[in-house]
Amino acid sequence: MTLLGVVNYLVRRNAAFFIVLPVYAVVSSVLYWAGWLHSDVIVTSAIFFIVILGLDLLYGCAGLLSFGHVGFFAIGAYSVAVLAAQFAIGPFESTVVGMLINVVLSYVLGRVCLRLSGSYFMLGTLAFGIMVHATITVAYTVTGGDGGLGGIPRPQIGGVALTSDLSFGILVWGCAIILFWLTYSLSKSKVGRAARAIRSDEVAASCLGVDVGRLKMNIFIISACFASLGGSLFAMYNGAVHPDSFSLATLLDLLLMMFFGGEGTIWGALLGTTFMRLLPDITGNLHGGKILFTGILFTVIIFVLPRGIAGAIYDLLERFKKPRADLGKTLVGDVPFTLERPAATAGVLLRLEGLSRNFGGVRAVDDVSFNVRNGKIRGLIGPNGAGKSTLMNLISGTLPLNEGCVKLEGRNIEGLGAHEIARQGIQRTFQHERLFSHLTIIENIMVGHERGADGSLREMAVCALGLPSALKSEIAARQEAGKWLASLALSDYADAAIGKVPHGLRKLVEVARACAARPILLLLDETVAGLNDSERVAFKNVIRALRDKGLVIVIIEHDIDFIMDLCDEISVLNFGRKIADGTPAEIRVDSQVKEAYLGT
Amino acid sequence: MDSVVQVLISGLSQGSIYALIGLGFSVAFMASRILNLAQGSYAVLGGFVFLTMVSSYRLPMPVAFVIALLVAAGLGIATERIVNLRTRPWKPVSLDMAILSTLALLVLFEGAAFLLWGSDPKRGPSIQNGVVSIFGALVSWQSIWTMASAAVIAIGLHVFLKKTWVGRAMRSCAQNAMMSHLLGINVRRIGAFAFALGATIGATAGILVSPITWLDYQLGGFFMLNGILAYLIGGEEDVAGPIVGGLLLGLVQNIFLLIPGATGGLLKQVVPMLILILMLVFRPQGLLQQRRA
Amino acid sequence: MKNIHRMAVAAFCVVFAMISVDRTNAADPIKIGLLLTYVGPTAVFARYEDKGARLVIEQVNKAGGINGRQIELVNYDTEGKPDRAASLYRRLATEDKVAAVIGPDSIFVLLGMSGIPSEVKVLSVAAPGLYELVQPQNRDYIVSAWAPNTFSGTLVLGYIKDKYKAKRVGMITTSDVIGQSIANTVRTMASAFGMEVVEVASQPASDRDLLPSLRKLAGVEPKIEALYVFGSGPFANIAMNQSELAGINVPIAYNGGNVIPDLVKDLSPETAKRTFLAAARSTVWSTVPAADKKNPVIEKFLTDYQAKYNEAPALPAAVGYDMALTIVDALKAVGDDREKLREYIKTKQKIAGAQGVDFARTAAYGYGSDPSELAVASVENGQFVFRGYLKDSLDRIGFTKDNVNAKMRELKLIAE
Repeated sequence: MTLLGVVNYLVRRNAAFFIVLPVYAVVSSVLYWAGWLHSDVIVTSAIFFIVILGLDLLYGCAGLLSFGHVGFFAIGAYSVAVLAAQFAIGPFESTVVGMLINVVLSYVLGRVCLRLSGSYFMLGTLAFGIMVHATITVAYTVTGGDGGLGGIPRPQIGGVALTSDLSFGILVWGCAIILFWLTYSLSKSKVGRAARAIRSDEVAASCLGVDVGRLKMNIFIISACFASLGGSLFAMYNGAVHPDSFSLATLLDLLLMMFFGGEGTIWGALLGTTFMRLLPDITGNLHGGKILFTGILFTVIIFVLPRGIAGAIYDLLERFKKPRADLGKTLVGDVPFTLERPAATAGVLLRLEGLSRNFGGVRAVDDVSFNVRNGKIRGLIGPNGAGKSTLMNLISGTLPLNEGCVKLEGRNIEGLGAHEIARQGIQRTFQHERLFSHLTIIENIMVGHERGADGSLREMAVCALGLPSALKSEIAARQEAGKWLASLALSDYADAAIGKVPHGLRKLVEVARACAARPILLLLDETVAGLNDSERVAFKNVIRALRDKGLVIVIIEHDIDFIMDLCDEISVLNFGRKIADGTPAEIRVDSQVKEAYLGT
Repeated sequence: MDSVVQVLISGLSQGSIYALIGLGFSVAFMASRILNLAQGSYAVLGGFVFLTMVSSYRLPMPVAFVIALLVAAGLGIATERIVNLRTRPWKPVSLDMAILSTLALLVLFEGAAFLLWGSDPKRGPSIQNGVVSIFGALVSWQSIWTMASAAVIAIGLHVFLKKTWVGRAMRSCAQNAMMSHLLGINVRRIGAFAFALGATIGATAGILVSPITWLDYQLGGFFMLNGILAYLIGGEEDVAGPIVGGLLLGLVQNIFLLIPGATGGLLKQVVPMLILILMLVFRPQGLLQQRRA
Repeated sequence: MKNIHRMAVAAFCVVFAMISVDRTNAADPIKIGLLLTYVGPTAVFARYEDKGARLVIEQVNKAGGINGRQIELVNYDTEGKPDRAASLYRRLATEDKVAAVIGPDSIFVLLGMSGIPSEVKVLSVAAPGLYELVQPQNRDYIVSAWAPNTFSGTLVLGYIKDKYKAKRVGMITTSDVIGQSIANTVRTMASAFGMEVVEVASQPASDRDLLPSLRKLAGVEPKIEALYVFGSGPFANIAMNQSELAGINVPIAYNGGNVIPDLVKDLSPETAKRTFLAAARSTVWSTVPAADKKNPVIEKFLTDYQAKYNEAPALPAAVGYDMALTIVDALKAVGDDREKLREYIKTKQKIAGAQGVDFARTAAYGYGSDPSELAVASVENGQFVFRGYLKDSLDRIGFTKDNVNAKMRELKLIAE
């Protein structure tokens, strides 16, 4: 792949950046000359755009709705103000100080709140925001409290103080555009996909290999830094700070900016912030009715434009797309699976020894042991409630086990996190299909190929900058995913939302997603349920093809005939215990199995 | 010594109000699993309607009370309808949508209050004027009525939830909406009823408190925050949770007044938030609830 | 295709020209900014100030304007947000190109942007109740037109010393920076009058149960002889009403934002009778002694306002009137050059205002008006009534104008 090809791909992928900015520039210029858009609105739009970029990364991508970013914003502003007033420290240095403080605070807050569920996360971050506001007001000897703190100098570049709207605006817009590029690239890269995977389904994401905890924390910290920068620029622009500028009303403004523009789109933030900054000028003379108007506007936006303006534009564009080919052709073409490396041990790939798991007083899995051999397909059957899915959860690391050990290629993997087990080479599907609803079909498979993301800052930097190495692997991932889609006759649906594809096919996409990660062991949990007869036949062929290519498979199913036909070896569970183990022929005549399924 | 008692009684009195708002949250959450951020607005609007009925229209207080409750109930039902505008019993509203739409309604109610009643704080009539001395502390009769009403409402609600069919239906809707729907329970209607009930409890709080603390259009957010805190501190234990949480919150906030000087009053704002975060970390299920498996 | 292109370009040019032409008016008016807070808890003040200011401007325009040029008000709403006020002030200066600005009106908003007028070099005629919190370096471009300000509010202690011979004062105030700053001022002025502030109790401004603080003050031994209340809104009303409950039955000196009849109607009658505050004479005009009534400015203001708006003006209306009057008077004298306006107002102007005081921003006058020219008022039946003149009380306790100025210098309220 030539460098030109890579650049071409980057430009096409980040097309929105190259379209939205010029259009915005032209429209705002026209409005400015017409006297409807004022320079202070243009400058402050950029400042808040920076904040919302971070917020959209946190919510739109990773699905974490923080009510506390006003706090980071305030600290960024007050760092500049206090350091300038008390210690005469210049704006650039104090911006850095503010950001460092916010990194520490966001790390602590993240440790506390990121493991909390949705509404508790919001409340925890809200508490933080309120504490910051209260502290600013309370510590008035340092912060000036309700008396405000003024005398913040504008930054100087090359000896020139940026006192005019134009000069300061250039600085702010420069920062905004750079951050826009970085954030947009990040959201379109594997990190963005991994984040949306987390938003869609955290458990499935970690089973694919996404380091959920680390990625969430890093995104949280980065979004706090964005807010910090915005706050510092805000303070510099106004020349003074006052607690009233960092209250819950400001939080509301931030939320509106993000939602009106279109959460998740990143570039929607540009529209949202400009609109909200422009709104007071539009409603100027309403005076008393202003708050009511805002409330009505907010309500209307949520219901009429739930995905904001950007979302509405995307919906509009959908209508102009070519209609897709009908589904219904039987699949499947050649299965594009390649084993990444041969198994390290001959013979037994996976060894389960004495696995147990309790739920309160119930022993869901009770001392289960068996071996999974290379080149074989192992079936796992049993009546409802026998513990099959639980056992699969133990192997994949989704649930911690109470006793026993799991050895993959001779290495102990019990106790590892789900994403670490995924990186060891185990992939799985789920009983209730868990495709990522915030990703398109092809992106789902790409996440598999990319094995999520390790969530490290280094990886995020590489992706944000759009370095050739990251782009090349992304192009490769897209090609591989495309091959999988072709084999499922879904090429036309690459960019479709997962809801556009029927249930049965979605389950096959889930298998493709797992296989795209090039595992050495594939766990399938009742994948066949919901497939019609021809789909089942196709599925059997897929499994056999995968086995022939060297993938070891463990499959849970209720359809006994299906299992008997497909598997080389079968384990049977009942009430958490393994009651039988052997070839299909042996299992068929086993008396304990018959008793378990049919009664005596 | 009597300053300690004074502070304690102020704390309990304020805490009763938080407890009532928290109860309103609890009732709505119980039936729908939606945190209604507009809960605080019912207190403000209910209180405003009550005082307007009494002062401008010269209606007797009980009549005005009923009217205010009816208005609040209507607003509660409207809230439920709006939040659930695009949902089905098998497809409940997502958490984010619920939070955002109730937040939008909070702003809407605030705007309506500003338009209708302006920016000045207003107060309504007390049930009983005057003060009484208890252990050397001065307590207004209104405070006593407030605490008594909170107790009565709490007990009544508890009985209602345990003994009546509607109460039990509410709790089943919370635990499993789809199953309740399949069992023939009209989930939407129960939800609307719960919201209406929560709103009337909130309105009662506003009516009780307006003679003491005045009401202004911005208090919706303040009540909401403290009500949520009360609810979280106490835990999801239906009725007892918000009551305990609210009283504790009121006490904690007022204890700091014993610290002389400006520091005490200032700590009062920061400490409740710290408590919230500590609760979220160490005991997210609240004080009364057992840790769930 | 080409024709359509040409037509599009032509149409665009026409529209552009129309927009541009529209922006340059033939008779080139003088622009003055009007920047008030129309939303939020202080919105009621803005409503009155707006009306008072517009009354002046309308009259001037009807009489032919300034040298044939009409005055145009450029009106923005700060919405109570200091950052928004900062942006709007800059906009008024650079884009709307106003000669001066009426406003901002709230002390919080002003403090959040007090450096801006100096930065853009446009004078702000503001209405903050506490000018003293504006930093000295920012006062070059900000003047106040609010006569009964917080400093004058402390002089009411002199009235109480004179009338009730009180010496021991207890104070209840808000626990924020403004409340604490006022406490210091009160302490200084009290000792200047030979009184003593024996105890200061503070609670957050949002608190509604002030019995803890009041009982603390009531418990001071020997008992306090006067109560000083600082606060606005319900805080102040509750403090005053609950004082009796707490066992404090002494005269109350009030200082704060409750200077409109609407805001004091909750005071119980007994409390209202013994509450005293500094008030502009226009607010107590109906009860002012007849001998003083020959004030043409106040008379004209009251008559014109009633005629135009069909309601009695409250204090902020007079403030708005005086803010506009300050600028109009200067415009008549020196024209609409920004620096000349500022220089005139800061150094040469002496103007009688509708509040009943003379405004002058020279060193002799401190930062706007002579505080002792104010009246002392009580509240009766929801109205402010005249009780005496500050000046008379200060004279009787031997506190001269020079003493006042010396104290103001000591408190850094005026320079040199």
